[in-house]
Amino acid sequence: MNGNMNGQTIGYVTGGSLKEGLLARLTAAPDAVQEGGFVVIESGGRRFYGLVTNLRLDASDPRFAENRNEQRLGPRIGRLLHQQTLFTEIEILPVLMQRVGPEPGTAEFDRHDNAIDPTPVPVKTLPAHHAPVRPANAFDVSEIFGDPQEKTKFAIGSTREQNHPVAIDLDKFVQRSSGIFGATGTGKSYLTRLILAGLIHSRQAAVLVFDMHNEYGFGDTSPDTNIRVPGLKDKLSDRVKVCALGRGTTIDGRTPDFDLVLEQRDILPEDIEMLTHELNLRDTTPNTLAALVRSFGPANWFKNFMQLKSGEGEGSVTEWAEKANVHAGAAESLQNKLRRVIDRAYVVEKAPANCIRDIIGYLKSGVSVVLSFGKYDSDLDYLLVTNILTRQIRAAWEQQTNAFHGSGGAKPTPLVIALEEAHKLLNREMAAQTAFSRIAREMRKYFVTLLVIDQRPSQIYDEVMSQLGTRISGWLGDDADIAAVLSGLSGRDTLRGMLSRLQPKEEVLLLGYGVPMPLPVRSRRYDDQFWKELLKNERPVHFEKGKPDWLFEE
Amino acid sequence: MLREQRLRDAIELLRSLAADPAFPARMQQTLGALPSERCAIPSNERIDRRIPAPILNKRLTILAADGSQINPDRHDLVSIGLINTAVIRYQTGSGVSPRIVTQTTLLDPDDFTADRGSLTEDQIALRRDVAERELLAAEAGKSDAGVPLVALTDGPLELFTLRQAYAGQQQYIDRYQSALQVLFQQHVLLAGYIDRPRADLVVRMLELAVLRQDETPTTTFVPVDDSLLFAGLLQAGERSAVFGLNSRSNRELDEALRFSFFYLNCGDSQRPQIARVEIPAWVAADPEAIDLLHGCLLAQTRITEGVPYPYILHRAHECAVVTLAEKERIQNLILREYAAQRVTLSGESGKQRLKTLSNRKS
Amino acid sequence: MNSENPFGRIISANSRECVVAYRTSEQEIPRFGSMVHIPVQGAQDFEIYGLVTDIQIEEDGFLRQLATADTLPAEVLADNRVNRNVPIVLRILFLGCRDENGDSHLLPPTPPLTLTAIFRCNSSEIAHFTAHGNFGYFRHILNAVNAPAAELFAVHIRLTSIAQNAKHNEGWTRAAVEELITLLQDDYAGLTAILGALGDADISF
Ligand SMILES: Nc1ncnc2c1ncn2[C@@H]1O[C@H](COP(=O)(O)OP(=O)(O)OP(=O)(O)O)[C@@H](O)[C@H]1O
Ligand SMILES: [Mg+2]
Repeated sequence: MNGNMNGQTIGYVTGGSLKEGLLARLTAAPDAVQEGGFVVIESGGRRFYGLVTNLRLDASDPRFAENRNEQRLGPRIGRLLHQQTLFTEIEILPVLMQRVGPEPGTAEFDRHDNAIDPTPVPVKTLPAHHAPVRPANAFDVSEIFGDPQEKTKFAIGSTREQNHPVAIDLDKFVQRSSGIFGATGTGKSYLTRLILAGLIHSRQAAVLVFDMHNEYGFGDTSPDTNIRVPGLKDKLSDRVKVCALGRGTTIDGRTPDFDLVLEQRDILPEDIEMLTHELNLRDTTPNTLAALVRSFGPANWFKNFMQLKSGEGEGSVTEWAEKANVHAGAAESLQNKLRRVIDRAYVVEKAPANCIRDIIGYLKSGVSVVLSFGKYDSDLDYLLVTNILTRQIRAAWEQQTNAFHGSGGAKPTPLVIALEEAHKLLNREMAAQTAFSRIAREMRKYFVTLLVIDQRPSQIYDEVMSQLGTRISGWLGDDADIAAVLSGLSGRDTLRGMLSRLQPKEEVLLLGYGVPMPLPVRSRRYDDQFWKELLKNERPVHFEKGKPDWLFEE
Repeated sequence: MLREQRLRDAIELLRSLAADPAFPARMQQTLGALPSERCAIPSNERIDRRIPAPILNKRLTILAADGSQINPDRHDLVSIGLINTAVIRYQTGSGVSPRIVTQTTLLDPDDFTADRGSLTEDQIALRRDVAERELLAAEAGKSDAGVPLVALTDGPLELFTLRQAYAGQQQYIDRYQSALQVLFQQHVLLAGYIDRPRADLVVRMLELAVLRQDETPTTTFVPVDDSLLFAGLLQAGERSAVFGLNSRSNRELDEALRFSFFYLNCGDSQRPQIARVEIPAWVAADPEAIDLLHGCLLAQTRITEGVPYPYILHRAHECAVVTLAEKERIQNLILREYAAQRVTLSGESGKQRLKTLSNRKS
Repeated sequence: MNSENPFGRIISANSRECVVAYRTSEQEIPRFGSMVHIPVQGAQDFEIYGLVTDIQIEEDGFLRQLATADTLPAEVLADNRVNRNVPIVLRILFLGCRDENGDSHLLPPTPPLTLTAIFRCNSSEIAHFTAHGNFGYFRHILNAVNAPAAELFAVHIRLTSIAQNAKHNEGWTRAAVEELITLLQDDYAGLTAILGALGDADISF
């Protein structure tokens, strides 16, 4: 796109450095740009892409700003005076640059060696003084973020000023774990729905959603607007199965495709250890558990242990404890505590069907699964079920991948595990014990990645956070949360302000090494229109126009 | 001391002579024997008379003339001789800004280029005096008949007597007299105003009056002169009696044109300042005219405070004067004209060229 | 008086300005802030453009005497105002010059000689000179010592905008004001003084 569609210049570069960013004098009205605005600077055959990180009202002499001279000089002279002496300075964080070569048809173009960069690269030099600054136009946005109409691209929102669609690359998105953050009510679940819809629809990956709040399968009614929005199952029923925890569970009065019950044999000591906090387990538990596995084997320890009687004598816990050389009191206490697990209705001795295998089967075949927790909304349920399930999935994908690499098996279907309230599983204490931290760290090699959704990113183990390639964050109020979202990224200081000044709803900041450059965007609306566009594959992707798009003269 | 004593003596003598009815006749007789003696002659007014400032209740038109001259200078690139005269017309009580008429005459270069002898400064001065009177006469003719017309010149009316007569001089004297005739005809109240006069005409008369038969005249009252005498006699605003003027040139004039004079104290009570006012016979013979003149001059001298000198004469002088810058401007004009005519100054006769030029101009 | 008639003569000059003597009795007094041109003849003929930056009525002892009088006859007042050749001295600030290569806003290569005549600029000369280049001559006004820059600019811009408008160059005035603002951005007091004066001059653009 070397055309002359550069739009209107809004300023020119006056200084700056790679470290501190660029300074530009605004020639347009101050409200022509916003913090986070996506701007382009053309200089010496290069195009620099950057973000407006700050705006500052300035004056060539502070007295021009302090004194209201227009009252004394009259409006006409006052206006001329202010045009030149009062100005807005913008700070720009240059992120990417691209050699584009001179304009075709110019003398420079003929002399030019035509060395151009096919894609933008990180900024390593600076534009010259007085290089013009203009808002990014639709072509620039698509140059950086990709054309939203391409199959693997998905429009997630639009630039705030000019409403140019901003896409994420679904291919890349599934190659690394990602995160969606934001304080409660900022639109995480809506955005997740959007992205999952895009993913499922594009067949880039199968998705397993741990739907703690029953929002994804059959949709949800917004508490704010009271408008019901469809779920993934409603719109993509052939590619989505809804699975409910527990037998006969209904979700919002609707019957799931199948139920999930766990067999006692699925429960491993590590699943119990993970519940230390929930079950208030003692320090001795790991010892006891190890002894149980020694006595009964990894498949039957739970069933056999729970069948031991209390009290003394044959078949009692005490007797086993003595034999196994563990503290009897500790064993009894553990058994007591484990009653909370065995009492879960979805934990059965023998399931009618192997639900977990079914789920894995669907996922392998590219069908996504929404696991609704139904009424089981305690942390215990969540931790136990997700952990057991994930462990098995991990094993399956590892096996598949090994087969793929080794014996020429089929390429595993990329799998994205979407995890609401992720911090419950990925906090510092838990991270070592759950399957998730491993997935986050290394499972991308095995085609499994996480999509963590959380309102308290600071609670997520930072090692996990650092693995998240794409971070999409709505407004965050807490400094620790902001710091967590920005951890490991350059330009944190400038991004921090941007994050804290996002609209409380439906505005997010795209971040992380999974996106070409950070950019605040207005979230795409998740509504009937969205579905219409997605399913009809309407082109071009159409957005409500918030502002006149003055880049294109109509 | 001596001066005061002699002043007192002179005043005393003046008074005693004034009281003597036979004095005028006696004086006439004395002067009959001394025709070339420059001194005052008693008129029909008592010689010690003091006439207070009259009330001036008439509108007047005052004309004042002055002139200036540029004397040719051999050192100049283009040597020029020039006479500039100005007359200013002032209507008292009118509120109207005075009108100024100037006349510039470039002298014929033949008159001062080396091969035919050069004009002296005095000769040019004579021409200037004539030009002044002629311009005054011309301007007087343009005046409103109903309003009395005063015409003033700076300095004496009497022509400066030339030491040596020269060819063509008479022509100017004649022209001078015809100008006076014109003024006389129109009964213009002509006066020559001599500021801070150094003359001793009246003192001389006193000295001659007490001369015995066959005695040679002595300067009894030196250093008392007329100014000192009348400063001692006249109060502020007062004029003296009119005196006749005994001089050779005056005798040569038509009787009607002969000059008289009076003294005027135009100072204030602290500082008397004496001016001599020369008037022609036709004015001297008209007491009302003398009153008008007296009042008019007093009013004029009082316009500029502290420096008693007729305003209108000062202005005539300003208008007539030729500044150095103006002189150079004229010379440059001539040079430019030369250039236009492609004449080089080192060529044949500069005189010839200038002559051509002035002919063209006139 | 048309521009062909000189209205005064130079009595002293340096590279930046000259002093011109002028007589009040010549009818049209050149206005403060008006533009003049001075033809200079020499090895190379050129024309200096200048601005009247000061008009001074010379000290005159006679006027002093008149001024101290209690009452003055009306004729005397009129005489002094209308007729008297009180020399007026003008300071002319050089703005640039013009030779066979056209206008320039650089100072003249040599000052004019004394007694050189100076002429009023007509509207088209003003328009031509001031539209040349990019207001370079403003610096001479800004650098002038002992010249009331604010007043000069107010008068100059007002007079010139009339000349420019006559040439349908309506943008000149606005550009001139903008240029001043650019030049004086770092001189708050100077700039606001000039703009204040421009406001008083009621310049339209
Ligand atoms: N993309 C969107 N399209 C339409 N509505 C949206 C969108 N994003 C947010 N909303 C509105 O904002 C409300 C809150 O969004 P959402 O439930 O996704 O927030 P959340 O971040 O998931 O909050 P919590 O942390 O409490 O789960 C929604 O009910 C909806 O009305
Ligand atoms: Mg939510």
